[in-house]
Amino acid sequence: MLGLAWKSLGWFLASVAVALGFLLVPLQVAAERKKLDRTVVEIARAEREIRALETEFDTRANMAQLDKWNAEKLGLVAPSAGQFVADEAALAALEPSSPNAPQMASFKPLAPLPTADAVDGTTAAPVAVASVSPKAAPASVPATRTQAAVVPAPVSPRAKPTRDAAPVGRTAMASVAPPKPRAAVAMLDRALLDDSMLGDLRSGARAETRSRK
Amino acid sequence: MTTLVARPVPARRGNDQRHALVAIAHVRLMMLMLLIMAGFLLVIGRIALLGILSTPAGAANLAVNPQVRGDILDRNGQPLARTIDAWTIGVRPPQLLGDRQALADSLARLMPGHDASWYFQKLTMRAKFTYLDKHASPDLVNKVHALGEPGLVFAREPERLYPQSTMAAHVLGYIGPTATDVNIAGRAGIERAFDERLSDPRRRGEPIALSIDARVQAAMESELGRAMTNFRAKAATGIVLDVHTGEIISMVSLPVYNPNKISGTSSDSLRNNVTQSVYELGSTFKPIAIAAAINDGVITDMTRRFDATKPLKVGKYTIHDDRGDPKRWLNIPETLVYSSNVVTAQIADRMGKDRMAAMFTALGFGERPAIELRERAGPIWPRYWGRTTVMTTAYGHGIAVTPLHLANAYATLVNGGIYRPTTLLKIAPGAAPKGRRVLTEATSARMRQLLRLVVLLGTGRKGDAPGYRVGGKTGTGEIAGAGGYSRSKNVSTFAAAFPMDAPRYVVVAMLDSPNGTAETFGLTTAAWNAAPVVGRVISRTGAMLGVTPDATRDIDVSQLLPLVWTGDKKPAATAE
Repeated sequence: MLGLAWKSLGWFLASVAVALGFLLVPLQVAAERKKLDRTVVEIARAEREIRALETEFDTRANMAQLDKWNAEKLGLVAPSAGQFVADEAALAALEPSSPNAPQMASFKPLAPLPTADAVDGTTAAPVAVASVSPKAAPASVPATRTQAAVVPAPVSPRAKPTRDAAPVGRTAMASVAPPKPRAAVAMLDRALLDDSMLGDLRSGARAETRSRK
Repeated sequence: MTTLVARPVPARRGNDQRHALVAIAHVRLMMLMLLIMAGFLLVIGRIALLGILSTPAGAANLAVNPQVRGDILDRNGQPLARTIDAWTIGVRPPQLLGDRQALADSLARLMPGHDASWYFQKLTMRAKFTYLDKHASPDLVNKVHALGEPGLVFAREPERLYPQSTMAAHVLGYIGPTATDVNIAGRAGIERAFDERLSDPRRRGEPIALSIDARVQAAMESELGRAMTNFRAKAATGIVLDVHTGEIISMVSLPVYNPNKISGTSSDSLRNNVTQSVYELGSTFKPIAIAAAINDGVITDMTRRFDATKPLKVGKYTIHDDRGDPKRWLNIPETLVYSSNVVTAQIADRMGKDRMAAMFTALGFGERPAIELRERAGPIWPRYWGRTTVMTTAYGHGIAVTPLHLANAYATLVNGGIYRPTTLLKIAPGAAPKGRRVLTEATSARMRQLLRLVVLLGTGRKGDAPGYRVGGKTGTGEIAGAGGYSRSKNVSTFAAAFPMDAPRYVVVAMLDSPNGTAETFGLTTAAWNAAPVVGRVISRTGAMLGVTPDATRDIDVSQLLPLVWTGDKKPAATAE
């Protein structure tokens, strides 16, 4: 009797356990699904936010605004016919250092450095460009970052470095220009970068020029 | 022992009864259990069914696209019209707790659009709800929220935004209610033409890609706008058209309006001059007449000369050339280079009414321009084709068409002679309509040479863009008003195509009633105002459109070059 009761209780418990087991599966599925839904909603919200930000960006940088800035400040112009090359062969045939070659990158190669003995101390022309900041170039301080073998001449008042440098190229790609006595960074408005940055760029370019030789 | 007498029968009976009772109880228990189990099974089954088959809870919201109106993109995917959620700030006056005057003061400080008294009036209104700002930035919403007033409420409401503001306004159109219809719907441009498609819940998720290139559109707008200001013109239009597909790359109509803020816009600004205004486009029609003559065999020889030594008298009319033009016998290239009305009229006269009208009809001048926009005007077609009508239409007077008509006609002239309807929708590569042949391949080839000559030697020189091999024709049509044509007011047009050795795009610029300036020596002809616009637009955008400028290539005009008399000096570019 008791055995029978235990047995049926056993059966009952077993079936309850099985039933609960069955019950748990869809519950878990539902929970997962809910989580998925939440993620989907989050994705949708993120997408909406991305859209709003993109739209805001587009609105702030709309074409008319960019055109106005270009007219007022940047002065970029479309590349001219001379700045296109016909094919790969023509591109390979370009000699960047030749006087009339179109400029490929934003840098113009430097004119060949004068040898040390050519510098007689009277000309300030090949002023080491690393010492670009006027106040950073007292005559006594050697320009530490010039890899050039040029000792800066005593700074004369007119040797305000870079101010009298060649005018900055104002085309999207620098235009064909006759060789200038010193480096000029094309494409950049002088006001956009401070002098030390320009100096770094120039000394980097100088090092590259040297390594190519 | 005897005392221990059991009563077996009742005991047995009781035992039997108990057995029976237990059996019944078992059966009942079993049935109960079965019932419970059935109940369980039912519940589990239902849960399982729900778990397996039902759609997720948020699905109903997700299935419907959150966007209320589809995007409009340019051909490179840049958004030109979007619907975003804009923050609105409202107030429920009865629920306000703090001091209203102080609140109005701080609102006026945060939102300087109105003064404190305006806000105070809103805050003390006897209404359940009223808006304070409909386009607030999230930053402003945060600041207003920081005031901590429970009566102020914030909500996000969909708002149509045109990120490029006035750019391509006439193409896109605008949405909103009208005086007669309170529903917000597309009221002009693409918004109107594709209103159903843009607001259809099933399709509004996919954006409409236009054929417009935003970069070219911007360049055209900026150059045309500058010319319009410079020459104080009444209106201006510009078109860039792909000659092989009929796609409109740029369509500019000035004056322009801002679709983001439509109230207070004048009807002049709302009109799309490219498709809604018709003009007598003057000498730009001459290449069409010449092409018709070549195509029909009226002219078989480029060296054939016509008398341009004196004005042509037809009945009571006299057709004459400009004062600066050479008074000689002119051959065909010279006719176009010097833009001689007299010779064009003679050629048209030889062609006759039927062939002239047939050519105009074939180029679509007899009907409204083929385009998706609903703002289209029909051309003014001559009511009576007299002999003089045939002559004057050949140089663009007496027939008025939209600038879009002209651009498409030039596309037909240079693309090998195929007419295709123009479209504002992006066409997948290779899916361009076949079109119908209007001119022979040979006629088209000849027209390319002739148009290039006009730019090399004639009135179109200022429209050249170095390396892009531009060919085109200027036209300065006098404006017909009360009491005949005006000498001082004209419509200056330059219709061009490039690169002429394998034409890809037609560029048309038109200025309505320009004035002379010091740089143009007071002249108002197209050579001085419309042509430079085209030249600058081509040099700015040619490379973006996939045309590589090349100074070493050009269409071969060596056959025709010796035919053009250049006199002692270079021909004056002032001639029209």
